[in-house]
Amino acid sequence: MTRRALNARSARISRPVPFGRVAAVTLALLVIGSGVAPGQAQAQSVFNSGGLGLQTDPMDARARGVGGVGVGLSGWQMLMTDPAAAAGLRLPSISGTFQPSVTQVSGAPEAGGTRFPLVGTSYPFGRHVFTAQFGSLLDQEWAVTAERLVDLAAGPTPALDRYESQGGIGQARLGWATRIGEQLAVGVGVGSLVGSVERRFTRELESGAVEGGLENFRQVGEWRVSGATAIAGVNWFPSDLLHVGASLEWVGDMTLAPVRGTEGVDRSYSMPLTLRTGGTFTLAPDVRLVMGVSRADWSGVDGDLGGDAARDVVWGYGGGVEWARGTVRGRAFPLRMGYRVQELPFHVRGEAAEEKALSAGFGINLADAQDLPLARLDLSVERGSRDAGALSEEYWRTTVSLRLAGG
Amino acid sequence: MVALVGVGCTDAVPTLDDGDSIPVDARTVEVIVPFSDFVESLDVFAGFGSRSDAPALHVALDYEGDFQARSLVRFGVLPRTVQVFPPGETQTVADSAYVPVGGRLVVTMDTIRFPPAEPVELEAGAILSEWDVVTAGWEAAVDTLGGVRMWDEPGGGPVRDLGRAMWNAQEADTVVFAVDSVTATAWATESNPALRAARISSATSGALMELRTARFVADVRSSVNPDTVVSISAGAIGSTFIYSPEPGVSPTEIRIGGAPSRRAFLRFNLPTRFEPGSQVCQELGDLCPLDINPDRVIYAGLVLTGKGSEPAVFTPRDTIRMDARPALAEGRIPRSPLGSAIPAQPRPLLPDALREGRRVEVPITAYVESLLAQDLGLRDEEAGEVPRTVALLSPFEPTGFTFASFVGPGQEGEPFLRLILTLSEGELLP
Repeated sequence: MTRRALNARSARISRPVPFGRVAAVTLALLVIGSGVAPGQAQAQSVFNSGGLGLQTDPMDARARGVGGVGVGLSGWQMLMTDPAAAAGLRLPSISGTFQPSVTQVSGAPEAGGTRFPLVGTSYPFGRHVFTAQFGSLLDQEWAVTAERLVDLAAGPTPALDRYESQGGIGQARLGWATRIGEQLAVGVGVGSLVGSVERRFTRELESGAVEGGLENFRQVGEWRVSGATAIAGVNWFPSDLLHVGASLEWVGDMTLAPVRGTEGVDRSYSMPLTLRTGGTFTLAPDVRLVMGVSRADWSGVDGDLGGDAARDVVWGYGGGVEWARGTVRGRAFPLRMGYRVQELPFHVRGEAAEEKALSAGFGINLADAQDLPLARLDLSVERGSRDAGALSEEYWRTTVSLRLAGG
Repeated sequence: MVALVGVGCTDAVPTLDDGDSIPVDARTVEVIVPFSDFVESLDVFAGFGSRSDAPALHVALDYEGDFQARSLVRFGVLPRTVQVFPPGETQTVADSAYVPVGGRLVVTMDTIRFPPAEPVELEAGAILSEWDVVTAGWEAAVDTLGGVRMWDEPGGGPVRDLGRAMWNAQEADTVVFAVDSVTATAWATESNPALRAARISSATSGALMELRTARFVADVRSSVNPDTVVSISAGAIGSTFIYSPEPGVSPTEIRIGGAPSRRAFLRFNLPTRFEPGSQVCQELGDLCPLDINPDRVIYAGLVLTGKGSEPAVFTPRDTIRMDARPALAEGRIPRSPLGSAIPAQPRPLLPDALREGRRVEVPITAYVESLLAQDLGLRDEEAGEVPRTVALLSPFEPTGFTFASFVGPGQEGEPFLRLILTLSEGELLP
């Protein structure tokens, strides 16, 4: 069954809901999402404390649901990890993803927050599709506290040290994609790293130690992130049953420039060259197998971080199935399951870290026009864990993506 | 689905409890900066405020040695007329031609704060020479610039004696002196308020007491109806107290308070770096050389060492308060206007805290930070210049004749600056 045939089947069984309502919901989500740049996402993990932060791939709910690495998924979509996947979008579109999560660290209070890992828009022009996207890259929101005893003339005085990191690093990218014949699509994107990082150290001494009270000691620094990024990808459809994709992402040196009176000079960190490849194999008319693998070379950053702070090569792999036969009130309702393993680039407490997640999710076309889906919602839920030696945490992560128009 | 989406709607930063994960190595140290290392000059001035503004008047005779104190009170004018019934009439008429035939001086004493345990004898007299209520002292009746006039007898004399009266603080709060007709007539007709005045002093040796106020009650005979004697009174319109001896300032002491008050002006010259070999670095060891900047200062306190006032009678018997305020116009010291208090609230000093050897600490963290920032060029010009001189003073001037004394520079127990610094090593970025 061809892609066109699948879409036509979907159109026949769908009853469009009022387009205005869908548009309003979608736009509201995107407005909220666009107001919070990916680099300012809220924290969700103590693993953010490793190196330059926790790697947060800019993937949508569908990619999360099938455990993929964000490349080689069937259908056309906007993914920062797969620039060629936008080549078949026939209508202008906007899409957004938000991602609430709750994390339970062993021996620590529960933490949680919401991230906006992917926001984008596309515009087809002839055989070409142009995209603009914001996506997440590294989450740096975390804190650590320690109780100390400080020797003063009055005697040992309790003190509380707190080190906080706020902010995050994202990427903004302009892309282009096109189809070459019926079996090939290519895409490229260029952009820059965006975001800021704020680090704050506070020492608070028990105020009663000195008559008149002690001030807190604060050391604060803020840095603006910059750096170039580019990606190239290809999607290949050798048959109706197989869809293969690959992308190569390059990020130049990431520079942190001090701002707002922060002392010091610019700091640069080498960023990785990331290769992603994956594919979708149609096992049965409504059953698809998705698999993918990624490889990123972070060896350059190790020296920048003082050595033994990062892995040289980081692998990620995962896979899952998508069952497309389900319907809800006559609307297509694909169900997904997947499993994904991602090595994390930065050591945490000197230990190599890894993330694993079991995922499930669904999608639904909220509105169709003939064979074109005008509004689509995807949702996935992940139950995952991160481990680094004795440190571990478990999390629930929900990813919701909405795409308006696009075709 | 709503539940699934809502699971992460609480923002809580994931927090590790692990000091080893903090990349900043912070060290908090306490530094004692000797007086000569942070103060360029110290000047103590007296003469702020007037005895007449003190909340209480004092009376003493040979108290704790040879301390003498007397109170001087001026009275207002008596009513110009009295209302009397002419003989055989039922309507009163105003009588402005009344004739004083005598009267009383009614003195109200303080029975709550430091009343004498035993009955004491007070004496009163009518002041016979002009005096200035604001500037009068033990020796000078008038002590204005270019207009000094001494008492004919030190201590507010001479006076026309009004006699003596016993006062038992356990029984009454007033003392009444009889006023003869000559004095009553003089006070009733005198237009100069300086001569409508009485001096109250103690006739009991070793006593010290406080006097609240006094008033003159005149008995006047009506000119309309000579059989009628009417009592009319005039309250106090000005009062002060004079005392002896009157210690001024001492080059070896920091004195604050008194009546008139004393103020100490310290001109700060803060170090911005402690060099190896300095006295401070002997304790800091390998931390030297150590740069001092506002970010590192988490506490700064000016530490003073108490020194019993001399003579001892001037040691405060009650809580006094101390302020530290920047002098806004150094060129006009000691009359410079002063800025806002550095610790927002005045520092209360209990008498016990002012005993010899006891330490009093005045937190001046914000001031030290601002001055350091200015010296290091870190201060925003729009924020204005930080005065280098700080005045130590009593927020209410005067409160009484007693004053606080602290050890001055160059002596054991000299003032010092207590700094608590937090030094951090390591970078915020990985």
